[in-house]
Amino acid sequence: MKKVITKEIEGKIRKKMKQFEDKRSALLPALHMVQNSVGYVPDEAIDELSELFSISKADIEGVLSFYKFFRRKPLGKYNIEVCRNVVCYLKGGKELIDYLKEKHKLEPGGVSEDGKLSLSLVECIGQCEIAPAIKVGEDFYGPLTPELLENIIKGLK
Amino acid sequence: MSDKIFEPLFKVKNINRIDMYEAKNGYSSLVKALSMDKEEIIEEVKKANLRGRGGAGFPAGVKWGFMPKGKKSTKYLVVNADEGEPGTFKDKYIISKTPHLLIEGIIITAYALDIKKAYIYIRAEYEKYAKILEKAISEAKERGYLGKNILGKNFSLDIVVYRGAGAYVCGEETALLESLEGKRGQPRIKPPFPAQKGLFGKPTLINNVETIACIPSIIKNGGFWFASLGTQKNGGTKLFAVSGKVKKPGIYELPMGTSLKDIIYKYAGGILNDRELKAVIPGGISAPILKADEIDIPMDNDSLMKAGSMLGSGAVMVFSEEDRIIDIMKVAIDFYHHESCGQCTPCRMGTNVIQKIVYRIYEGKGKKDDIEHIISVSNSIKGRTLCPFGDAVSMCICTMAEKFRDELEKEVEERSQ
Repeated sequence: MKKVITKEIEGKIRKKMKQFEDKRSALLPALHMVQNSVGYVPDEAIDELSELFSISKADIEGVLSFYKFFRRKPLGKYNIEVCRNVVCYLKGGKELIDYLKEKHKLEPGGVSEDGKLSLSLVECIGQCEIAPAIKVGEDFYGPLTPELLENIIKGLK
Repeated sequence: MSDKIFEPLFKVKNINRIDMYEAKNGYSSLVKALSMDKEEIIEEVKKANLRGRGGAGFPAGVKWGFMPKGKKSTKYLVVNADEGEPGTFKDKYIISKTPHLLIEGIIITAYALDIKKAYIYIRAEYEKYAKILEKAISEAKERGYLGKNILGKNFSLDIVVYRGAGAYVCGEETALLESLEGKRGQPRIKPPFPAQKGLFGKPTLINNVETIACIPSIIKNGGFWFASLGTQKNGGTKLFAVSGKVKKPGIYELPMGTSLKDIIYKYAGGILNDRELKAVIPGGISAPILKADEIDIPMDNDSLMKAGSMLGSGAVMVFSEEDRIIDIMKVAIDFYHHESCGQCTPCRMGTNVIQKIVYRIYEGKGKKDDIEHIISVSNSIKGRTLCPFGDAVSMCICTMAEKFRDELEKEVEERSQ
């Protein structure tokens, strides 16, 4: 059966382990690698990481559930992260969320029918000077209105 | 001699590349530091009155002094680039525009304290900026500023960038260490403090990005020069991240002690749509809110503490008469409730209870005693948790409820009939 932790990823994880006094430190980087490669952290990855790190699956589950950046199920091809914190909220972030709910039938944590879009409400993403801001992939956009947001969505292929 | 540290560099195009950084005298402070006595470097930092820029405002030189001396034991330097305090976006500018300034600061700090390994813990959402850092680190390594025998000296250093995974509490230094060890990011019991037992149980110095990025200028121009830029006990300039209802939100480098009123009206252009100012949070959401008549105040750690607030990270969030306090409270308590790590009962339960009451008012179902309840539950969290998160929730919510009691009571009375 095809493994989630491919030989290539395993090599990267082992290299990462050497950068720390205790190899366990490489667990967060390893989870990032899995999520980058698969889009989320599937159950199989936990089995494989448990073996690689010699720590229990429960222990890994504990770490996973603590950090909201890691997800246990696939999201849309493009996950739209809308900041819901104070500055963005007061400067029109709420309207962006309402727009995505109404126009694109997205609920926080939910995926659009065609699998293209999903919506996450996130805490401050450090873009308050361009509030209201969103993050898609590694990129930040702002200040946005529903119209500008729609243009960004249209540009996502 | 410029009286600013960051802005002149921010304006230089491609300063994120090592060639340009070197062309602007980059890494010359490192060369100077390597010719200095290690104690002398620490003395300069003490003279500089550099206060930690992450939020607590602890004197950096004193913190350095807690680290054991000598080369015998393994020690670590951890740079806090978690920047999760709502309203804060200053470290992003340092990292993305002048990553080498941060790296130079790290190398000097490590040299002064005989540290051979440094980690930069950067928040998960900053993938983009983490890549800029990694590129800069590899450039510095190629030029011999990092790695073995730096610039021919008997001194070696490696820097590793470590990405967080989306937990606000990991900005607290012991939670950050737990996270860096690959565990759940729950704060540790102190003492022992990180300078005694930190990362992997070894003495560890943890400093914020902006704090470390001030070091090269202190070495270059001297501690007294840096101290003279600010107020008596608050040396240097500060990056103020101004956001909310102002005409020109953005980052402003100004001397410590600059009046909050000037920051809002002179630099950030005044209130959006020429509305009336309602309130300001002067140092990230955890800093107690100030009312419009409280802004004639110098922005430094001591003055704000005296006024019952905090300089925090220097994130100034401005609210106008258009903003309702209940909206701000709702977003704030949603944030704290979501981010409480759950370890200490007063924080875990307190945020839950406050959220329920605030929602009740927000939804127009508030009761007469609700504001009193919010204040009483907030007060019951304060001082009863392992880390400052509990105090942050308490102060943030309690001050909003107390200072805007009239507005909140009106909200309850008018909408709950």
